[in-house]
Amino acid sequence: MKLTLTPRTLFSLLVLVFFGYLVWEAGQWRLQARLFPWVIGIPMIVLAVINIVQELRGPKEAGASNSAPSDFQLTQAVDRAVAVRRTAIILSWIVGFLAGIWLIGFSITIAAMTFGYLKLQSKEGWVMSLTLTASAWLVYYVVFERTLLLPFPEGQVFRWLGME
Amino acid sequence: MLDAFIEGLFHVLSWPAFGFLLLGALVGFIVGILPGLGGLATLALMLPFAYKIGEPISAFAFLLGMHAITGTTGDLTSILFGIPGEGTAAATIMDGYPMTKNGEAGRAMGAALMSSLVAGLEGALILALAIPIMRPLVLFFGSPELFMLAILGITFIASLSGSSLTKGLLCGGIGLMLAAIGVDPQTGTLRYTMGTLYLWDGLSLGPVVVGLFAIPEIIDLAVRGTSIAEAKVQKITGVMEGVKDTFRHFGLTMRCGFIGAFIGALPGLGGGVSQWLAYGHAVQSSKDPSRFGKGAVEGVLGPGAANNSKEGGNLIPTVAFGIPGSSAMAILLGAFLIVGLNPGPEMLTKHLDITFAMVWILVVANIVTVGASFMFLNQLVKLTFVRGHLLIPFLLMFVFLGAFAAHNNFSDMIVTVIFGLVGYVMVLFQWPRPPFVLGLVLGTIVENYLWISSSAYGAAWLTHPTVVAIFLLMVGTLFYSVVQTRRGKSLEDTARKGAEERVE
Amino acid sequence: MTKRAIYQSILVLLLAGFLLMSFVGQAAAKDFYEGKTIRILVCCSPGGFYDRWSRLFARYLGKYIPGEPDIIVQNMPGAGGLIVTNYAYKVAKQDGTAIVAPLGGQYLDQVAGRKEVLFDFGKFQWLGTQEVAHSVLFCRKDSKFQSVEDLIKNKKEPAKLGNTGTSGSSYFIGKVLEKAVGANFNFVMGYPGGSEIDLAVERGEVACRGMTIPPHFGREPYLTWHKTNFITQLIQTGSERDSRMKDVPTLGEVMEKYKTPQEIRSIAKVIFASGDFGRPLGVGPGVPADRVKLLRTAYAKALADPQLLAEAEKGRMTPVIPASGEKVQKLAEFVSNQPKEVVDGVKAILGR
Repeated sequence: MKLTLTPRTLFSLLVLVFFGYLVWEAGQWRLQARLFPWVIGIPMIVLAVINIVQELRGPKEAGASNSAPSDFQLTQAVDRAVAVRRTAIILSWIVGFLAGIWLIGFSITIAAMTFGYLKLQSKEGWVMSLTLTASAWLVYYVVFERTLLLPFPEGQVFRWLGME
Repeated sequence: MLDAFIEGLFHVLSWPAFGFLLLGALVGFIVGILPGLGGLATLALMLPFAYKIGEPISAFAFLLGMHAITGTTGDLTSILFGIPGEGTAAATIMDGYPMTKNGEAGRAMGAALMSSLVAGLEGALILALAIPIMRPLVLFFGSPELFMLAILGITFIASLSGSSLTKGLLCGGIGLMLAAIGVDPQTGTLRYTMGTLYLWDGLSLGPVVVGLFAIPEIIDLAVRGTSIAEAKVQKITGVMEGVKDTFRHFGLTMRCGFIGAFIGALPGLGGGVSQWLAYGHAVQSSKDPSRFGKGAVEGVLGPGAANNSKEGGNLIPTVAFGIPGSSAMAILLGAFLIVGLNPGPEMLTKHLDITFAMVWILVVANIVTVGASFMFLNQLVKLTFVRGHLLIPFLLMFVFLGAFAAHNNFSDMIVTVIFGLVGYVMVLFQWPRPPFVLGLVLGTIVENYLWISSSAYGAAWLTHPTVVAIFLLMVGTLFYSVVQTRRGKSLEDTARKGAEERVE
Repeated sequence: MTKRAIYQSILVLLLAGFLLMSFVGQAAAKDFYEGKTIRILVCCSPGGFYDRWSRLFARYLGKYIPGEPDIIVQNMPGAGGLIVTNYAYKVAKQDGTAIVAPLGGQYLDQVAGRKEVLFDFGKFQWLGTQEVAHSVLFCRKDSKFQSVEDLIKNKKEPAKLGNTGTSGSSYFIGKVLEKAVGANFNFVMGYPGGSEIDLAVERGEVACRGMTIPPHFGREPYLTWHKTNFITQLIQTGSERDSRMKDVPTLGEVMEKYKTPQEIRSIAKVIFASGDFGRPLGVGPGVPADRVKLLRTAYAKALADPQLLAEAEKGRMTPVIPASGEKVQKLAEFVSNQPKEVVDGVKAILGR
């Protein structure tokens, strides 16, 4: 048996660690609190081990078969290198969006991110970028800020600067 | 009683009630279609209008009409953009969005709306028929029965697992484990809260589901670099096709409508349950479960139907006991008082006409909205042919707003991003997501109702006739689906599956 | 950008900030609240009494504050109310534009010494409260439990008491009665909410439930239950009998009868002081005194507004029993400063 640690197997290992850790942490609780996590978790540890064995034994059989799960699949139509690069880029936009909201608040982030994505990432023209940015921000402002009165948090930066 | 039934209809169609109904439906339409605009917050915001309207029928026409429509149109966002309009209403994404990618957005929306309409009418009919037997009906289902229903839901995990039962069960297990997060009601122990206050209440469904489903789709859209719809297929014909689908699978639509109304009538199972159970049922009862998740129209019809009929069901305990069947109903209960009505037995005797008027409000609001929606659909479908790059910033904005607006909490957005990554990896390595959500939705219910059942009844609850009946139903459906799956697969496949099942 | 450029821009921003603040400060001399928006931060989700009272105030409080600010309601539920209370104390601006509507019993987390508590209940500046919300314990009329005595007597098959978790009024009453008079309960835990407990009472799954008194007389299914004589109230936690339950003994009377030790009485007093808080409104500890005074006056005036009272009446948020900010303040200070024996007792009873 050849052991190759593919990312796929790594994820399966992570699942095992996940259950293992949760079951271990539950060990310190009183019986009633602990019972449910154990009843679910302990059989799952066994199952996770079985899953790993299955994967190591026959990666073809367990993974790449045509009868995929009842769930959607990522596109295969794009060249792999391009796909990896594009995935990395969009992930940074997503995380950046969250970081932006935390640092400078919703209002500015929505305008900046929308405009940034349109102008810098997808290289749209000025008119298109500005119009779409304005409409996104207006939807946010009119509906969520003015009508629904949601308590949007202030940006952390402003708090550090003491100018809330 | 027939008098009251007809009188109710006239109440609703009279002016100004009808005008308020239209207004409510319009607001509901907008609220439903914008992700993150929770129906609950909007209801609370609109409640003071009930003071101003004053007259019961008009006030309900406005509030209930609005509420009935949010669910219906929420499905449209799930189908078009893969972002759930509301966290509890995400099952439509599973097949609706893949249909859109196949260029069948029109068909999917037609199916969602028509099944909503059919099931909305069914829910209203069930409400009307249940009026004389409402009280015993609700009282019949105690904690042991709720527990068994949740277990029944959990068995759906098997059929939602697709090719690898092991992975499906593991995903279900992850969901169940994560459901344990928060303050344990039995002992007050803080379970898996990682030292944060935020996790005291457990993971909330909305942000998890938005992340799990919307973010992988956004990543995929960016990678593809095309519009959401990959293939230009039919345009307008699609909508009618979806309408026809509803009648092609009429039995399924009605069954899922029944599931929605039934679960809705039982307070204590929560909003997320009915749609996912309906989806599970649609998959389980299909001859070829492997089509699901890739654009099977039954996967839209099922949750679409359940989503709407649950409103009729929700009204049952609200009217019969004055005990709200959902959080939205709790707000409507406030409206009852404001307009001078006493929800409770009076609603079934003295104010029977108003109760029936509420049934009619559900019916009329649904007909009006679905009719009006059909005029917009073609415009909406065009959006799915817009270049993905133009849509992505909007989708991201709505993902974050949607995650935040549920509880006005920043941490919800972090949860969304985390589960977005988890969802992406799951899709990448072909771990099925539906069992995970099912586990998360049902975990708390299973645990709590098991404790409640055993402390309130000892071991005696195991022999309750309803408990036994549900158990038999469960074994039956499991057996049926195993037979179905085996028949549908090749010999080699069957052998492997069998081996896996023995391992369990 | 170089480091220096960053420092420079931060400096500029800071300066701009100070200028802005001093400008705002100037304006404060006139009507601070003119053109401002006050947020009422609510502990709870839309629909409940906390939310409804806050929304009612949002519509009436503004006109009694000089400058007539807009008032909006923002729900920040979570962690048993700790999220909003911590936020109002630590994060919200201390300029009087953030009013908090915390759970009346939130101080218990502080008394029990939970490390997650970042506030001092006694240092919030209270505007007042509009009601008292003591608790009542009731059982089905057809059950064996018609008095506190029955609860003590039935040891073999103790009363089934429905609970959501370990921090509801039902649980508190049950635990205190256990401790104080030796009552017996079978605590049935884990109902998702009060509605589900009510249904469980209807179908006889549990016999008893504890809850706050205002909804007990303001909502279904209780109104019908009173009418059809479906339940019996066993005990109430206020220091005096509620006018609607003249023949139901108070906890104090019962403890007197059973000669409960003084120590346990003080513990019970702290736990059920939450009833006297009702559903209070307050502002953070850093809000300037003159603004607190403005808000207190406005609060008192709004509570006397006949239109507000009419709406409260219509929504069955009655009876309105106002208590002034000063009175609530005293109470908050009292409960926040308890001797160690009491604190330990509270901890033991609440299981924390």
